[in-house]
Amino acid sequence: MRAHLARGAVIAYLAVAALLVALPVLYVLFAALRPGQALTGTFRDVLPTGFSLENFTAALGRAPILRQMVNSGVVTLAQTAAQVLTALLAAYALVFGRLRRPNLVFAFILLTMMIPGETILVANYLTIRSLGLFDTVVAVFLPFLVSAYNVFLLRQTFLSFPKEIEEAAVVDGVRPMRFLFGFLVPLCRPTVVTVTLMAAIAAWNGYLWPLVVSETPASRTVQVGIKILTDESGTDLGASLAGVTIAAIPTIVLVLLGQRFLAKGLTQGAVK
Amino acid sequence: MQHVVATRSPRGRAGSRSRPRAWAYGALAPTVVALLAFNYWPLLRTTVLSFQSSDLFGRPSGFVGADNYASMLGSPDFRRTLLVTSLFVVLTVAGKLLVGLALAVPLSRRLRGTAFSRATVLIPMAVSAAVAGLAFRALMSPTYGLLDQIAIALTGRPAGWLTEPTMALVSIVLVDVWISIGFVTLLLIAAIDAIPVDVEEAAALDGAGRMRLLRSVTVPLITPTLFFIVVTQSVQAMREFTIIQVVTGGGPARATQTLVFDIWAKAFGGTADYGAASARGIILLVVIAVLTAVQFGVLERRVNY
Repeated sequence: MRAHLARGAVIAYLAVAALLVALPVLYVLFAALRPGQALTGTFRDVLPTGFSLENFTAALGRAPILRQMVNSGVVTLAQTAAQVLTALLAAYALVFGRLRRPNLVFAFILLTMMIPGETILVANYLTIRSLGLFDTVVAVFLPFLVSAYNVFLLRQTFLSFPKEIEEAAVVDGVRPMRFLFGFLVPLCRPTVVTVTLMAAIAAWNGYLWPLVVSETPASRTVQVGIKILTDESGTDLGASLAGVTIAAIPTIVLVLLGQRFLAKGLTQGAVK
Repeated sequence: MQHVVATRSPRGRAGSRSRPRAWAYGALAPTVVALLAFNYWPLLRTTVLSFQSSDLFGRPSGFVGADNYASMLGSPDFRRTLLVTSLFVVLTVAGKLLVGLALAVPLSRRLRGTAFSRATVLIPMAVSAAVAGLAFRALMSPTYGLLDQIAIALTGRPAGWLTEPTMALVSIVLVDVWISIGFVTLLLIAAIDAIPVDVEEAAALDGAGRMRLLRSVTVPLITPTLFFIVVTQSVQAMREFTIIQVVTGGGPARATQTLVFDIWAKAFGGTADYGAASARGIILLVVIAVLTAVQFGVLERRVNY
């Protein structure tokens, strides 16, 4: 009986805790869908009261949210494709390239993880300026074509791949790139999927750099767009929170679809 | 050089084994070029900029030695910024550990009926810092926001989440804890699940109560994960920008202005003082390097593997 009660208490505690964690997301969603004033200033705001898309229409009318979604999409696709491709090639060369000093090259790559992006913010901004790319979508992803962490994760996976298979393939005359994309990538698919997902989420969620290198509303990414929309909406929180909802949907979908891979990838770095 | 490698290779094929494959250079080239152009070169440029003054338009106007560093370290505003940064880092890391443990310990027991809770706790992982910041800005908005409603109901007056200097710091800590809680809890659940069941059972047989079990068995056995969380999350907190800029804008009256926010403000927030921003960038690099090294030196000795 006592054990039963204790179990019930733990389940109740966890349910309340989980709801508290989820509350900010639900709060935004309910406010965005609420007709009239988004926040009424009463405790009923935690419940879904009413359904209307007027806040979404207002948000789309006030800022080029859809254009900014497209910008974010282009940035995410380009940045993710580049990061995955460069990491695959670099990890492949590090593990199977028979380099003279593979560890030196690996250290050169890994050391960049010690340079905070915020430290080199101004210098990279000046580079983008002198390339004439300021206020373009290209500027948003250009400095992030390579991610050292992705090289690290893929190298780890490739290292556990039996060397003999690769040697046999080479003896049989399989071209290196054919081996990488035809055999290695399909066989290491879980890690490749994890790396791709993490790269995509990071690209979509970027904020400081896109804020610094873009200026006009039409070239902003959606993350920056919704902040400016909120600043300009003043007390009309409905439009702002509708924008927030739109911007949040892609990563929520990605995380839900890739839950399994993400949990593995995120905990991988912690295993000693 | 060749014969050394050849003797290490008992199965022959020494020629192909010792000579780097030509394609490997091509495969590494994009990575090396990109890292040189957007990581190493800007680091060098930042260092040089930090010893230069800049005119009104941000153009370098001559070397000034260590002037940028001297005026930065001599300014009370900057010392305040460092204090705010330290408080933010300590409070967020402590908050993440406490909330993470409070969720992970019961969740790791995999009771029936907790699958929903386990999935829900991961929600913040799916949300960007800008989205989370704007959600909390609504929750904390004066009078109308839910959190202010709660404060009014409990204390009879608004809490000033975003307008009172101390509360504003608490607010950004709260948002930062929230956004990391999915990740931290996930790590802790994995660590607790890895503890052998018989260790806990033996302790329970010896008469250890719930709290005793947690304090003397669970926490000591997951110290590697706790250590990993402290290191990664303190670096992450040092570098946090989005939440601060979105939720409080560094205010009120610089009460939430951290080092990274200061870098941005000096370069892009009204002035274009690239020299001052670069000097702060170098300080950030050094602080993070020292922080990581100290944590590895001090904490690792107390970690059980």
